[in-house]
Amino acid sequence: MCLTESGFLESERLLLRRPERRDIPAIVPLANDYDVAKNLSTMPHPYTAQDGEAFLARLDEKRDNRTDFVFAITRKADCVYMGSIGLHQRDEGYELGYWLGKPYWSQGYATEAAWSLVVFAFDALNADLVWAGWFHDNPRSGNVLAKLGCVPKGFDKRHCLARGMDIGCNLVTLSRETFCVRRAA
Amino acid sequence: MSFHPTTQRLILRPPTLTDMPAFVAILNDFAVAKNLQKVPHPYTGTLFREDLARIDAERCNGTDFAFAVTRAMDGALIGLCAVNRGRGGDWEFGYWYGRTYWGQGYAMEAARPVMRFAFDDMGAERLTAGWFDDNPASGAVLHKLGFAITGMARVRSMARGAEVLSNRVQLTREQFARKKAA
Repeated sequence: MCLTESGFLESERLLLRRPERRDIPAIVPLANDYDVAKNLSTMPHPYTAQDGEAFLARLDEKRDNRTDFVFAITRKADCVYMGSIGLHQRDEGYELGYWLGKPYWSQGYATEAAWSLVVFAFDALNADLVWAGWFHDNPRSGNVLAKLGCVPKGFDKRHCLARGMDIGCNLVTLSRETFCVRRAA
Repeated sequence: MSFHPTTQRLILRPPTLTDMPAFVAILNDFAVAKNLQKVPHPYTGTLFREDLARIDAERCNGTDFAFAVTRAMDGALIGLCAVNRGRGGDWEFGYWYGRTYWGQGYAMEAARPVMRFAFDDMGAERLTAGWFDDNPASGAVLHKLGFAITGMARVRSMARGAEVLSNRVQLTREQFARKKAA
């Protein structure tokens, strides 16, 4: 994994890059899937091109803040847009969040992309801690986070926009120490 | 170049370094490379970097405009469509597509905005193109686009390491305008 001069994160199969307007036609059909949206706090459902525009507009607003780092998850082999991943600065540390379109589940892409982001968080952003939350009924995401070395830190209720209700959410964290041990292994 | 033509299914944009793996995967296919003059086989990342540097430089010079053709619905890089300046008002038109994307009308769809760009923005008087005699699929695309045969030539295919019989075709500005009006 390396962070190139142009702000890309590259790993074996993936290229994480800035989402662009031309991605909207690819984003919408993947994001407009209840099975995706129900696992996320703030993804609207149904998801339209206007939501895609709003997503990009928010990125533009935050571009220079250095508080939010959002990447498109694309497959190097064919440049296909598969999902999005980001780090968001909070009081507790950087929150990691991600989603992949259903055709791209179960192939290790989330783990590969998330690993790039935690390396970015600890190396480039000098984070002390990365944390994430996964809804209790989405154990796949829990597995991804466990594979990164995240450990359970608590349980909370968080609002899910697509479901329109609060959902039980597992909170997990990855400390710099654990990360360094993981990476050395 | 901020010119990003969009068609019903496609988005055209300048190729970038991040396209390398997809670009190489497509061009490092003899079935694709054998239809082209200047693509060696095997095709590698090093060659891509050289090609990209040339594409970027020629775009700045205004002598060659190569568009990465991507599929809007998933962002897949499916091919390349280009025009480059020849003698007088002639511009040479060319393209290639990954084998898995053949037979779906993508070449036709991407060609139109690139041809329009050559005639309307670059002031081309005539587009020229060529297709190898054993690649009739490309001949059919050019025919449907309105190109007419002007002759034949023997040209070298780097991938084959041999000369190949090539059908030369052309389309004038007037023919393009008439075709558009029709």
